[in-house]
Amino acid sequence: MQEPTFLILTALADGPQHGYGIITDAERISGGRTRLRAGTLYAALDRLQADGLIGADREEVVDGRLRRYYRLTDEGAAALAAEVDALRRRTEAAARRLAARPRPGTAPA
Amino acid sequence: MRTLEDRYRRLLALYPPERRQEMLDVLLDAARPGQARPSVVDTADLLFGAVRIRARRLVCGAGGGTWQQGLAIAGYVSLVLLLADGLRFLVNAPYVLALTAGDQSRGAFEHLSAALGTGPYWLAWAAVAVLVRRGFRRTATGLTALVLTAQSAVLTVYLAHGPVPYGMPATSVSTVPFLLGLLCTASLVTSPGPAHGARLLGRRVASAVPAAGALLALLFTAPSAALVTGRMYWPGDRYQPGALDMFSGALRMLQVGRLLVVAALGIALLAVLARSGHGRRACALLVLPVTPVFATVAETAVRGFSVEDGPHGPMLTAVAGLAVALGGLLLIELPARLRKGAHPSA
Repeated sequence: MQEPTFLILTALADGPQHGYGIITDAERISGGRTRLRAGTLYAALDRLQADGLIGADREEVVDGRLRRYYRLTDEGAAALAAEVDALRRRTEAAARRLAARPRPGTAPA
Repeated sequence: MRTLEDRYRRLLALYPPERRQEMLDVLLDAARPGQARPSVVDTADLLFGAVRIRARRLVCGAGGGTWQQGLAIAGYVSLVLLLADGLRFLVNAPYVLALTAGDQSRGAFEHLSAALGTGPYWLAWAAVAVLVRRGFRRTATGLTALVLTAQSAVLTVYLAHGPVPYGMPATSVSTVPFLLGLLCTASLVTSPGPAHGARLLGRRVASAVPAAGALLALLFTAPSAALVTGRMYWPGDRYQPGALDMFSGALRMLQVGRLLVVAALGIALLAVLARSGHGRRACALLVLPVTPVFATVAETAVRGFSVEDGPHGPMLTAVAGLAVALGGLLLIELPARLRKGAHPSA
């Protein structure tokens, strides 16, 4: 799963959000490292919607601006859970190997 | 003088119309105060995003196009019917085993293979259903591809060279279950998948499909045959010469009743699905596995028996049935297409 997809699904796991809400939430989730741009966001939303991982929730007009809300579907939640599981396994494997690695200064000469 | 909004609108003209206003409002929300033109990075991102959306829709259709949605529904119905067939196998297994247990003319492997040989096949489809339900679509697709490949390989060798382990059981699942498996795999590969199909059907219809499948499967089991023969064979009964023929004969006698139930369930499903474009496409696709069943019934009605000489005949019948269904669908939707062509703005 690509990073934008992961960030979008994680943002929607908290509840339905509109496009700009997803951008700001994804930035928060990534610790300020990733800011989704509109083209990337909507290409991903279009694909995720077609795959049934997210769905349209509702539309609102706030201050004359259209806000279309998206929600995570059960299938999307399952896909995110599978990705979290895979990432956890990889992280644990990396942590185990790093822990087993000789520390600088203790390696045999 | 052009404003930021005008410049964004020009870029967004590359996007599908239903996305433009929403994206424009997001871009204006995200703009810096006093920003007069899109940055180079934003421009490149918008151009690249438009290409990605247009390319994906060109290949797969918009928002899971009508055909994709139809395939998702057909995939769900196919998977449920495969599970129902597995249920039939499970209910019948102890009876078939008991009826043939004393048959000295068969070796132990041949006996077990004939009675329970398709067990792993049904188990694999049950695993596919669990994977689909839990959202592991890629693993489920791999497993369906593996099942279909193994099944085709065994069948090819068996039909070309005679006895091969699991050859006989492979023939028993070589037509309708194979075609259902094919639809299910196509649904997993080229559509949002059976789980999405279930959602498109809605909770009520989606839960009625397994109930109908189970009812259909149970009509093909030993207990329902007992209703006709008046004699129930229990697991553990001693083998009697001719018992298996009697059992098969009873199942054949149930044919009319089954046909009525299949027709009633088929009409009910058609009535529900025909209301939408994707539903009609699902119906057309489901004609593929259904045609061989009706061809066999029709042949039996006309000739008094049906000839089973491998899967090739039923496969050709199935493809012919699908072609007719697709042609029929085209004719049904032609008036609407012509109207749409005459009034493109509608």
